Amino acid sequence: MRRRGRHMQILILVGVVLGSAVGIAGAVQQPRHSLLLTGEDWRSWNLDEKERYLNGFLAGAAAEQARAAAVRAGDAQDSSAVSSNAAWTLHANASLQFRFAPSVYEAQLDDFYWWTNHRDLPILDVMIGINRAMLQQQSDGNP
Amino acid sequence: MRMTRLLALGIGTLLPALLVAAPAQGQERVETIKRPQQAPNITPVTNQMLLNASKDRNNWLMFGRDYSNQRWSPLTQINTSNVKNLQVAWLYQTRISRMGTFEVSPVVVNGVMYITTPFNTAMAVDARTGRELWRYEHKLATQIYCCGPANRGVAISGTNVFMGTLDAHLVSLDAKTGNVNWDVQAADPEAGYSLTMAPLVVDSTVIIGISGGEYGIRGFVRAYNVSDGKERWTFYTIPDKGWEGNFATTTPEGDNLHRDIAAEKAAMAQYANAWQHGGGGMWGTPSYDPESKTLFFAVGNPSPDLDGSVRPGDNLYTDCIVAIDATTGQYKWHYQEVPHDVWDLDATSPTVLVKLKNGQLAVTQAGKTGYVYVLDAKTGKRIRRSQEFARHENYFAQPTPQGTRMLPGANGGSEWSTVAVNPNLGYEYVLNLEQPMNYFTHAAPLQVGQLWLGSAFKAVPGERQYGNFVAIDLNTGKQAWNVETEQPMMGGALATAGNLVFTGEGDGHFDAFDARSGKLLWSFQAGAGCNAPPVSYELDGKQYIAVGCGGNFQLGYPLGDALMVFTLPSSRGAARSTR
Repeated sequence: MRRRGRHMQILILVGVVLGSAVGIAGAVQQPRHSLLLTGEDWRSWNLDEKERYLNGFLAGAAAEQARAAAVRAGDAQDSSAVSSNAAWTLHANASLQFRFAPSVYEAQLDDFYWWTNHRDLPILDVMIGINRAMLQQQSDGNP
Repeated sequence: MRMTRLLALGIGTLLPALLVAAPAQGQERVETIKRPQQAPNITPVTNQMLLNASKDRNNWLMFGRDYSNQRWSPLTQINTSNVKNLQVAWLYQTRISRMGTFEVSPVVVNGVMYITTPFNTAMAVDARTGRELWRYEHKLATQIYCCGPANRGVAISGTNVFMGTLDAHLVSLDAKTGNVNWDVQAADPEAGYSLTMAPLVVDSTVIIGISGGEYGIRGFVRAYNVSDGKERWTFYTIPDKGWEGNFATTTPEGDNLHRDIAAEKAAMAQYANAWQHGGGGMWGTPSYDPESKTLFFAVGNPSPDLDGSVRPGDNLYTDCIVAIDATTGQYKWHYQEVPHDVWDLDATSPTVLVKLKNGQLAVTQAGKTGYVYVLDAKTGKRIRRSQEFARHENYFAQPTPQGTRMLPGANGGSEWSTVAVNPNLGYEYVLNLEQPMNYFTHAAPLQVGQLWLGSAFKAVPGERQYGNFVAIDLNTGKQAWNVETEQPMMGGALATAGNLVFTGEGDGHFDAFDARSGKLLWSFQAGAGCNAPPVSYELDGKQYIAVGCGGNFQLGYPLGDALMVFTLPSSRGAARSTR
């Protein structure tokens, strides 16, 4: 009985420890909302993860711009066909707001987040800033 | 009888003329100005002409005048004794709708000048008068292009004019009409690829290098068939194998690069594919040695530009002078000025071939590092690195929270500017920027919307920026002379056998110096920055000097769109009339 009680205590202890560990792991691994991702996240990702993020970002930005364009044009908002067509039209006209390829943004974000004091800035904000700067730089020249 | 006949003849001849010329009462006299409208003499440019370009007094047949890229004109009509009389022969306003950095080096063939503008308009102009013969406006298929709307000129073969475009197309135009012969896409502009350099024709190929090193491209130089634009060969400036190099801890000359080699090696596996977006754009037209059939060119920065942690290794062939076989694109040798560059001190000024006093063929390049590199053209071995033409402070320093003052700053040294060589003196003329910068790890708090790489390197507040025009003796590496200019220099130089060297300044001055001493002999205010490489040619026994004066956006120099052409006054004391 004593031994059984002792076993119980050990099991509970192990359970608590494991539970805590799982809880900690769960806290660590809990995905953060993409709007909250910062340069610290960017720096921790490998190339594939960076590309996945950027592909998603660019697709989302294009979809939102296309939806807005469709609304302005009076087209149905709930049709994915309308949105994808509109997105493709924007792409073909070089009118997408985020118009560069993922590799372009990747290089710029790598450079930007190399600066340690930049790393707490959200990627979303930096993407907007970098994009604006690159659009402006099209009339500049900087080897 | 004789008198009567003469009178009759005179009256018979003059009367109709008087009737026509004399205005009727109450009418104003109207004259028509008649200008000679010669049809352009479009002469095919043969390979033999290109091979003998250095001896051709009339023409300027390619970007660097001949395959050596020396920008050396044998013309002597304009010289140190009479350059003070130089005056405008004509100027051509490009009338482009959007101005930008104007970097063209014109090509002149038998009285026809071919120029290009920002945003890829190409024109043919009568080189005697400035009359436009045709223009071609490239419809940019995208608004995405790396690094500014610049274009540095055309190449020509037969009656084909070649221009690279901002949307990474190479177009072949009919020299007589400007009509498109063919148009090929070299790469994807959305991924940051663009073409800004003037191509080079070698035998039956037209060769061009890609730009976009700031945008994660994989750089290359490619040869196309002159006739149909079909790809002949490609040499990638970022190799798929071996781009990590030997993990050099110093430059080849022994300057400490302050690299953490252990950390780089540890990161190799994680960033094994970094070469795929490793940068290595090209800014300058290659030089070419016809004897060994070797191309020499400078390769720009790795990508990302400042973050070396995600691209471990030496990042070959960025920041390199590279030699390849011009017929196959096969690698011959390379010389890396800055392994694993995180300062943007890359190689952008075009390479130049020179014969040294001892007969050795050398390839030279003016680096953003502030040195001229002189290498053996056969082997790539260093003959010498010149005395500095830019000051050096904290060379290859790492950034600090307080900011490390660095010289050269991130712009160099020598930017993309072309040098010129006087082979008689053995001098190379280099344009320099003196822009002290602070290199921060912790810059001032950031404002979203003002995010850019400029926050990394910052000009030192209150410190003067200026430029230098420097003559380097290639046989000794020493400075022969050094002229300080009010503003950092960017554009190019022209050397002539009249012992002159020409260059322009950002404030609109276009200057002529004594090539031996650096004494300023003549200057003209063009009203916009003369930030383009000048050229010289001869027509009807007159020597002309031409330069684009359209400013530079990057350095804030006043923009314009004029191509200025100068000559000496005629013997009657006036400039040659265009009427």
